[in-house]
Amino acid sequence: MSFRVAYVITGSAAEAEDAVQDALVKSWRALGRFRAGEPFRPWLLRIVANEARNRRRSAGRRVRLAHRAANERADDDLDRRPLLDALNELPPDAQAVLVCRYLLGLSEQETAAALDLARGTVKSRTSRALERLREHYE
Amino acid sequence: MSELERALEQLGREVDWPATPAFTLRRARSRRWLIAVALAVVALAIAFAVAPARSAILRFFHLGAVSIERVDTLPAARERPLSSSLGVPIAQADARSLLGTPFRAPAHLKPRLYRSGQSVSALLAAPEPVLLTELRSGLNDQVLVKKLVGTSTDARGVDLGLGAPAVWIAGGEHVYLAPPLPARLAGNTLIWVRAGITYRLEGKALTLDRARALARELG
Repeated sequence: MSFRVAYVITGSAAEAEDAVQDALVKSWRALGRFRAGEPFRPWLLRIVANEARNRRRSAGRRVRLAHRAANERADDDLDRRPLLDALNELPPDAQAVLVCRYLLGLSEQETAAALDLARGTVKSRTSRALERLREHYE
Repeated sequence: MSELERALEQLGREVDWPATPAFTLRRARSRRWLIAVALAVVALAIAFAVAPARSAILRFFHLGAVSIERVDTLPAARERPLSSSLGVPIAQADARSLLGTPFRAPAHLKPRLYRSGQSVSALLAAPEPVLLTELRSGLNDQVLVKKLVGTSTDARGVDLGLGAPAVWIAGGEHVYLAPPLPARLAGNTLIWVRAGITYRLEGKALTLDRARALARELG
């Protein structure tokens, strides 16, 4: 899952691989700051996503966050095309939250960690993004 | 959940995500080697970060790539479906590359293979669901998977008749830790090592006799 989150953010499998590698080393060094009893996955996802964002920024690219992988397959899947097109129409912030919540199946807490947002923001942004997607899709 | 949300989830299931890279120990001195070590250390540290477990490890031993520790207090973990421990689908050739040998499954089954970290897994119907996981034992017997066993759990050496060391864990709760997968309560488990590969069979209704028969089918 860490790799997919990094892939969604960087838009490149190679960049995602490097991001996860560096993030794992950082997480190892930061383990002393991991609080016992807290869920581990959001903690790790936050580090991975930060590393991925840093790589995206340093590459100077504005990556469309949503459905890069899905889009590559959509040419031979006409049923999915309208939904992908509608997703494409959304602003990157809205795409990101929908991809994390539904395409990656992350929980609200994990999405908040991956996107560096408050949990309440994830909830409201998801709701608004779904509304906008519905307008484009239906 | 609305129809639109379900459509998005379905889209997620149909996405052909790029394969998650395998971090092997074979590339010594490369960054991947460092990551493999980091993963193993993370695996250990997760358990040690749980104060009750850290303070009360009664005894532990290693078997191939697996560390088994008996503790008087298990860390928080919940039951999850066996499929949550599968990872991403991979081809037989990729499994062979990762393990250094073909993935062994009972001859009459042709299960789909999945990778998570350095482990390759398959879900068998035997007849109840059984998770078969194979890991290449790392350099210096690097621990890649950790099992925390409560005081009420039976963990004992068994003879499979294969000339291979084996441990059977059953009769009580134990926690399975294999980062980056979430910790979960595991079912009855047989672990054995043969020819540099650590094998693990797990099923809620798995009996020792059935596990032993499956192990022999693998050869």
